Amino acid sequence: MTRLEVNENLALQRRTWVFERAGWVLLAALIAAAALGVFGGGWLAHRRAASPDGSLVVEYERFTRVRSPERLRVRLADVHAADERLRLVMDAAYLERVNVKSATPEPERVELGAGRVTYVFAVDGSSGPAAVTFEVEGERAGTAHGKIALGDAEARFEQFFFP
Amino acid sequence: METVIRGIVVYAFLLLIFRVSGQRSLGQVTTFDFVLLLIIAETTQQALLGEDFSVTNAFLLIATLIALDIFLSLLKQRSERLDAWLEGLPLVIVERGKPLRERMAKARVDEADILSAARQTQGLERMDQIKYAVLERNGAISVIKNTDAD
Repeated sequence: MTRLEVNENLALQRRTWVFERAGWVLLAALIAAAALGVFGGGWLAHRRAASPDGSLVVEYERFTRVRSPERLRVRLADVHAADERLRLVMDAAYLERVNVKSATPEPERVELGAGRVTYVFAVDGSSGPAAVTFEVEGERAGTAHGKIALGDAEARFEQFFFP
Repeated sequence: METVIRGIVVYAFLLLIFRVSGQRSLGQVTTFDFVLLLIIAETTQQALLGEDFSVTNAFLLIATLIALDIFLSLLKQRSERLDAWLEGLPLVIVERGKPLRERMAKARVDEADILSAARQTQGLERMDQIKYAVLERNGAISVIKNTDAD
């Protein structure tokens, strides 16, 4: 009888099959988690943080990734006709972690203060809800704490940046 | 979520486009086919990654594509029909030394291709030495020698 020269090892083969199947399950779980937004971009990741009086709401991504543009939307319940300027104050510590690529609408000017940066918007004199969208990009992996305020209304939020 | 959707959409599109291009496309890769593949790869990369250059995004994308591949392979094993649709079917193109012209034309294979495969795989010289030639699912032509001839 001629023997086939092949280094078959059925015991090891079976173990690798088990390993493979386990990998499939893990892969499926990973993708399901990703689809839900565990790694950013799904309904698990979208969050809202409101100021205690509800006049300022920040819509943000709880989980996101570094070097990936994403939106931070600030919704204001009421812009008063009497106001000429709208001053959104952002925490400087947050700005150390993320890069603000742009703000829509564009602010009239940006003021640098101690531990804070103020975005000043011109207001057209109408009353009602308004929104400002910031495009931000995380610079480092890890948790960043954000704080955005309009007058006394202050909303705090936390973001985790995946590498 | 976006990453997973991107992965699925691009995978489905590529599957469709390569199926439309016919089974010979990847069988015998010519220099131009190879260049075309590189261009496709480069173009696809943009669509897949978008503006997200994080490691997480890359890992999720790779995981999605591999998982789709595994999933489809499992489905194909279950369903012969699906397998036929996705991977194509083998096609006999030479029978007892006679090229089957209509089939060859439809499959875009010519006699020179068959003879080339016959030379390379069996060292044959003429068409009448071929018993069967089959265009396989992977686009390769397999040749069975006619043992009666010479």
